[in-house]
Amino acid sequence: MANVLRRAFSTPLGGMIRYEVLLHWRQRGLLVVLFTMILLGVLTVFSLSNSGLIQRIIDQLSMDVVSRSQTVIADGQTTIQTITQTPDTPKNPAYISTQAFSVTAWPIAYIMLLILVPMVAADAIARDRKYRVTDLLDSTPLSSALYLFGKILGLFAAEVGLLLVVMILYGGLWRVAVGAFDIPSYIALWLVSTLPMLFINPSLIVLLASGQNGRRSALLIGFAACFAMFFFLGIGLSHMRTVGTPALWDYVNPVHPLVFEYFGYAPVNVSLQSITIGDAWLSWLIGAGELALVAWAAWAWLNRRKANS
Amino acid sequence: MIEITNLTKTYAGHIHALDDVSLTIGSGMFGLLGANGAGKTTLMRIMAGLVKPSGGRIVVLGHDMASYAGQQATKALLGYLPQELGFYPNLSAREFLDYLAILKGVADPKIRRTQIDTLIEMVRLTDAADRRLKTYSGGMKRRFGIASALLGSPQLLIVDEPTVGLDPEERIRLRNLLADLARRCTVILSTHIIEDIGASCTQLAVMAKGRVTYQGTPAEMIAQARGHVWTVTTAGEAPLDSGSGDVGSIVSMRQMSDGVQYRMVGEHLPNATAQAVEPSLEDGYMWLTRGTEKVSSG
Repeated sequence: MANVLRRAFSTPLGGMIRYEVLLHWRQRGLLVVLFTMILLGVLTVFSLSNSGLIQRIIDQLSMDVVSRSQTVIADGQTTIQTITQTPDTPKNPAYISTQAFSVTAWPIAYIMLLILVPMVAADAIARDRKYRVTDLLDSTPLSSALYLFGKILGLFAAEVGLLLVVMILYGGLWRVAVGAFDIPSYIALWLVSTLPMLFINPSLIVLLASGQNGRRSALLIGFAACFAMFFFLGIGLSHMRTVGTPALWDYVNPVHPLVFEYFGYAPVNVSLQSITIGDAWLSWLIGAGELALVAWAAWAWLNRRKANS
Repeated sequence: MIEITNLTKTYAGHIHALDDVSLTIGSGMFGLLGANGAGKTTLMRIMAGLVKPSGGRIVVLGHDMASYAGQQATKALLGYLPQELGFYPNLSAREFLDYLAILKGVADPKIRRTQIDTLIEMVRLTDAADRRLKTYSGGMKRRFGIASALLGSPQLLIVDEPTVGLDPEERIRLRNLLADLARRCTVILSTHIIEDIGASCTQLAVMAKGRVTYQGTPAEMIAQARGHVWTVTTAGEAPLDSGSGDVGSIVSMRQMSDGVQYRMVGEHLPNATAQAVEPSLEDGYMWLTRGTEKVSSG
């Protein structure tokens, strides 16, 4: 296994991934994100637990008959309907605890990662121009495509480490503050909801900022992207809660509100339970397609820039 | 072997960086001499595959640089030390060399480690190899740059102004290192420091305003200036025109006990007191370029 890894990291792509991970962690960006998440985790879990909100949600999820309210807009009038639902099977307390995590602490962590990580990602390519490493890299047989691919995968590999720490930390905090939870579904929550987001969204920012000559302008793009993501998420969430069923925009929205709603809100809001895991995956698939499109554009631009230099 | 035929490069704004350059570069150490803005760096960047020419043809080690395949094949055989050396400040020298070696295609970890250890020792960075590059002095960074250019045992080494910022001892050491390397591969050295060329290059070209104004050996360049180099001693003022209308260019001035000795290059004897002297490479260069400092009559 060690030999396989050594050989993999000795290829140009493997080497890029390895050293991009090192570079990202040695700069302060990801460390700042990590410490922010640690602080946020402590504040979120303990304050929510102390306020009694988590227990109320656990109680709500545990009820055999569940009563929830739904906002309906029809004929220009807004009404609130009460809907009752009886679960098909008795619920496992550990699984309920994970669900409670999913609707309380996880959404806050997800939004923070959605906003903070792209700011770190923005200068992945501009950094090479700032440190004048571009000429050295260009003088090797490394192609533009492999360069972009290496940057994206290197960033993602660095983020996987970040996510692992965040997962373990939040799990530990939840265990202390709330109690036992179902570990497989907890891990699945992070892997299905957050891991794809950490691949697609920061990669989009890397590619969008790849054309910037300076680090400052690249970081400005990162900041603008953060605000845009917040904005798009807001639009997506308010649309879903108004209409209740996904529309085309919800799938192509670059911040994937369907995923957020499915994991973060649908368990306690029956009006959103028309969203399925299939919708979430479809949203990720479309996001991957959007990323491929932007990657192609960035690659074409890089080649054109080299040709005209 | 590098064959350059009618090479041109025009940047946006009609800046003609290279204008119909034709050169043949064989094995050994080849010097590229010229003032700032002469086109040396542009030519080197084209040879390294970093910049596409606007016209002409360039064949490096049998590979036509017009095609992508040719460029990639050349880059696998090339070592490049740019004028402005870049590095990741948060990586150590060993780490960055390892990274570059991987990108250059040195896949075997053992071979890579051996190469890096050898290069680090060659450039005398063994004690600092595991320190982060941001802690390096200017000379150490240059030495690191040479080591990075030598990764993968290149057949062609392109070094752009490698001695800039080095103290005299470092410069001599680096020149000797490059001369030693020139026995094994082709080295193209670009500089505006003439001593660097004279000390080690077997062939050289002089560039001015994007054109090659001379190609030949250092000895031939010196021979061109023979009979056109004089020393004149005056009380202090610059030599006046003796009637020829052109006293030439001042190459150097030296304070002597009996006045100021001017070394001059020109078409005619500056004045009756001038003495002809054996030209140096610097004189040859000045004779070619004729004129960073013309002294007008009166």
